[in-house]
Amino acid sequence: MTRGTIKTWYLVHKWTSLICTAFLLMLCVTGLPLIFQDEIDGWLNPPAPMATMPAGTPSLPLDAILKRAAVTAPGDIPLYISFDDDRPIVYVTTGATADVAPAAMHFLAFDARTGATMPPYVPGVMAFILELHTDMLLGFWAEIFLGVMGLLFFAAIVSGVVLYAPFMAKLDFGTLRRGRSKRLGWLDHHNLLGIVTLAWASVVGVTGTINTFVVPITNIWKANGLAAIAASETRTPLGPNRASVQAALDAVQRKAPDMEPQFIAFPGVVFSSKHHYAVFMKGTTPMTSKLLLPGFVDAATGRLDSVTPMPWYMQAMLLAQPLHFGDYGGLVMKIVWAVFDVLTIVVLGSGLYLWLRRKGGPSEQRVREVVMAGETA
Amino acid sequence: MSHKTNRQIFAVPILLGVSTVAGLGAGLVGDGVWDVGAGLLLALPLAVTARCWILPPATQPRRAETPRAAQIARRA
Repeated sequence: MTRGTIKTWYLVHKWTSLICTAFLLMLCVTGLPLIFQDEIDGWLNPPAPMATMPAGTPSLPLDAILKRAAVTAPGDIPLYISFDDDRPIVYVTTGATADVAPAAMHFLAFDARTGATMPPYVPGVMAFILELHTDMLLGFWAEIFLGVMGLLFFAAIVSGVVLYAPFMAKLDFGTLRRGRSKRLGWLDHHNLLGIVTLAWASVVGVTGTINTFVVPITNIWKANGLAAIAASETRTPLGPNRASVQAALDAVQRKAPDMEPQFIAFPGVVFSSKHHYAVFMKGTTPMTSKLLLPGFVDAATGRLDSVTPMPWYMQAMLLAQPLHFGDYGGLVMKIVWAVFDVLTIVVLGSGLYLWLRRKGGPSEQRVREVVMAGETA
Repeated sequence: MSHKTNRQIFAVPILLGVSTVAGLGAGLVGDGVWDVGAGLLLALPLAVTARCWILPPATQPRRAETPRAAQIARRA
């Protein structure tokens, strides 16, 4: 590698890092408690007790649950039904209209077997931290901005790997020179921790960026696949009398007997068309539970119109979520995730330190530091 | 002054990267034994880091270009 090439990669590493470091530090710090979101939420807000009933007690039809919801939230229409992962609880989201803002929606919970009202989900401190992590409480464009920071972070990783080669040309893997200058010590730690967290940081960085594009990617899917299903034929106008939601779920379940329902989107909401109940089924392994299979049932006639796998870009987006959050491999994986997160904070912090405590002089000085493995004194 | 080849420089990093990615994948495939495998594969880079970190400084050559044979000779 010529000095000119090294200098170019050094400048890429310097500028991509400098721009994204402050935001990445924020993401790592807020991301750390989010790894243990379920544990912390369960501890701060223990789940409400449920009536003990014999195992295998059948659930009420969803239409009966919806009647209860109509009593609890009068004047609202149902927007979503979703199912608890662990307990027989049905969640119903309602709103004044189908396009109401999430803040104005009502979140209800019912015992699936008795229809008894359960305490609704109350967003707590973890929901606040998740919002900070997602968009710093600044909305859609801030989320996209953080996605761009994720891309810069990935560019910083790639350029860092390129610089790792000349730096390590005469050093053994894992060399940490002790008893030398403080700068040399941090340089060695920055290199070692950077290279061992390389794969993890790349995966979490890139999947995080993908997650910030959820809204635009979902809109592409709606504009293509979803619109085709809705437009495939003339529709009976949707009146007040709708087809049974339970029958819609049963119809889709028959097409996917090995899957479980994840949620049902009602006509007009983001995840459905204007005419359909969209029943989203999920698989039962960590991976297939994220790859949703939607079935579309005409809400006026109750006819099953289509059960079509999502296009590749929706599948990729859904798979990016567990790979970003590290919530699919049990407690051991969460602890590993936390350690990698802390090591990434050290890489970011040491990088910042190395830049702040750089010796004066032009960037040729840094290039010299890279090729001499820091032995410039 | 002997320059290492890229293969020598990146042998361990690539091994650790493959281990990480395999761990991330194994966790997605299933629960139970898959999660245990995922944990072990993901922990390998962390174990290697800990090993480098706590390695007593004396066994690390101050200058890495010190020939290995010379070290062995000195220790003998």
